[in-house]
Amino acid sequence: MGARQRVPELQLVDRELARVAALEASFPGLTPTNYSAESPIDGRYNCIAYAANDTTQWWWPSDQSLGGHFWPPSAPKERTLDAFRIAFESLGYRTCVNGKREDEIEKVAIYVNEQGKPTHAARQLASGVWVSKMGPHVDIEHETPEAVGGHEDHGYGVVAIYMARQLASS
Amino acid sequence: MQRAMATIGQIKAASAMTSVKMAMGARISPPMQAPTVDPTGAFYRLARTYLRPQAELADRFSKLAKQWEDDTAFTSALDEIVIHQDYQEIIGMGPQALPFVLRRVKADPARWFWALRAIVGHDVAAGARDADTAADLWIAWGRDNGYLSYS
Repeated sequence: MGARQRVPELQLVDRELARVAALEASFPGLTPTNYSAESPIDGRYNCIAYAANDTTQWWWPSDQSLGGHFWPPSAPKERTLDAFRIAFESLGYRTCVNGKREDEIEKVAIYVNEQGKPTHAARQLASGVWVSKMGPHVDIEHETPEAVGGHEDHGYGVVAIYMARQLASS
Repeated sequence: MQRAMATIGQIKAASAMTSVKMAMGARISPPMQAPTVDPTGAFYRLARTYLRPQAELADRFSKLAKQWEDDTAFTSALDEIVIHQDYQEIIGMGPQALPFVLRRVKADPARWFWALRAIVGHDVAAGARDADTAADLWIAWGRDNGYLSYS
């Protein structure tokens, strides 16, 4: 007789545990105490979209436009730091010195790999905590930008620039 | 005993045929059943020539997709996602891959759009302003073109 089949709810728990394990294995800077998953896995949007407050489509530069994908028209369609900076400038962000929390200011961090190619963007909440969409995976909150950094297959590299914009007054 | 085994074989073959054809998006009404009498063996010849390749395709697609998903689980970079060897192999399967890709496009939409356009030759969802709308357009196209069932 084969192994007993686990009930669907437990299979779901198994899958979630496996996903958390994969997340922490790929990002050594993430520990059970310095981040939290805030959403289910969602393949509709990615980190750049989430940093730009868009959860409906995938943001990435590409020569060919594709339904369901987006890249700001004013930004070059190339995977360079300049192109990503211009993309966020189109949303009102300007380059700033660091990622320290400031009242009424919203910041984003753009990460690059060892070749200088953008890999990721994170956004700072009013509390000072950072949020990241992990590719097509989950949204997480993390205490520092460095928590999702790292090199090669482990992490998104380093923060190349911080950008900031004034939050609209309520 | 021999007769009983033949009956079980027929049931399995009919079940496999139905599930694979449904997986491939074929419109099946009513469900296909193995013939009670098959003196020429035509049904089983059909099963051997049709079912096995389809099952192998499904298995091949699942393995390629799993490896690609594992390797790109946290990647936003579209250029890295679509250049992955297994993703390219799926594109290389051509239209045979469409039923499998289309069945995944609702749950994991954005990353499959590139493969769909590469296989079909044009962007069915061109101009769609969000991933859900684009996925719905691709699914509707798949149904209209016989790659997905309407159920």
